[in-house]
Amino acid sequence: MADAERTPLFAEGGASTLALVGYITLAVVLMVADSRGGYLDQVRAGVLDLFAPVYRVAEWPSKAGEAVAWHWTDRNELQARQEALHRELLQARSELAQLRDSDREAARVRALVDFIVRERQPGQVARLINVDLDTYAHRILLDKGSADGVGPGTVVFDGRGIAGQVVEAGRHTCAVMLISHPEHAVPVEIERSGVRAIAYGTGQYDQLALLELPLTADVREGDRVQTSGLGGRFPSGYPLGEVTALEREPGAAFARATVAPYARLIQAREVLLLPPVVFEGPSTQPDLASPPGS
Amino acid sequence: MALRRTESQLYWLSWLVAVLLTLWPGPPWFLKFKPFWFGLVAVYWALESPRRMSLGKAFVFGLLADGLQGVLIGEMALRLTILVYVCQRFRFRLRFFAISQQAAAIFGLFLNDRVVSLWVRLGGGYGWPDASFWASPLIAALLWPWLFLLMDRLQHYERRTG
Repeated sequence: MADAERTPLFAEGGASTLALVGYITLAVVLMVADSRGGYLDQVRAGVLDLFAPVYRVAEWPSKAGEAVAWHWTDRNELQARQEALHRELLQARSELAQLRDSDREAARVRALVDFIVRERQPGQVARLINVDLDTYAHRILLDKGSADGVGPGTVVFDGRGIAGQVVEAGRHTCAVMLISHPEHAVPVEIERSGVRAIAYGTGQYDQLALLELPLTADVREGDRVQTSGLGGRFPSGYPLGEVTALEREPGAAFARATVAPYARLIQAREVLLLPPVVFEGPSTQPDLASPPGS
Repeated sequence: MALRRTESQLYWLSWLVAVLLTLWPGPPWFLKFKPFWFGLVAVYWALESPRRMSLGKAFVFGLLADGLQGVLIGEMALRLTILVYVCQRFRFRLRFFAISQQAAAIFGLFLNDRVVSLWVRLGGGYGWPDASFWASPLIAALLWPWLFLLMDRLQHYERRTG
């Protein structure tokens, strides 16, 4: 009687095969619920808040190490670094000035041909919480959360390319699914030819895959791949990566391209958070009469 | 002592250290060779006494680790439960092994863990992992003697003073 009433969770005694089978079944059910159904998404956001203090404490040793390294960095080296950054800034500024002009023009054209109007919102900078989650989780943690207006779908850009998107947001912490995660997909286009595709994560940090490309698609090695803005989450025109390999097997129905992401997925320190694209509409009739700004 | 302590401080301390070591990023080249600290600590306590590391505890700690590391919920729970089960099954034999033999057994245990992990990852669509994936059993076997001696020392020390 006492045995029957004892909770199996913390049962004493030797290894019970029946208990093992029970736990394995439970674990498999949980894994399937988590991966297929997304039933545990709510739980995950709560868990993030629960563990946030642990992450903050766990990053102290590496923070201290960094502080020491910073303290002992050579003055000349710092000067060189600063000069390099300054040059980069100047270059970026001049490019930006050119872009502004063409952007205005593009906005006018877009208003004529497209009925979706992109609303520009400023991004915010977030710092990476320097803890190592399981390498296979393809996740990073950032120090911004729902209190800072960050929610699931917020796009993460690391200055070189799209890095991923926020999947769970706690109060002051958020978890980002990297573009390399096998369940991640980004609608993209080839910059040169405008061919549209979807870039899937492969589970490897250094490659994404464009599957389902038509065999005749105009894609070459070295082509730059950027977000297409389709699907309504990733803003269009952000760089994603570069085509490194193409497979066109004779019997296959589709070609497959491998893309090396520009974003440094695990070494980033600070990233830019871009709110998900907000569409005006979809309106049934494109408003061709009035250009924007009128 | 009026209040019966169910677990020693060392027990919780070892888990805390495992959490910190697991989250510590360290140098980039080290990332792929990071020891499976939760597994090592679970195996140590499972060999110490089945009460301290029951299947249920392994499962619950595994779920917490899943949340902490952001992997598929249930993955770590599955891996720890299987590790602890095998340890309990062969506990009496393992405990009387010489340390070198224990290390060999640890190699086998963690190799099995990698197979379980591979199974989960292939199921999750992660594809075949690279060669460093299989380094874990070797690292665990090399670490085991030192970990075992250290923990044994600490336990003796704790019993004497506590």
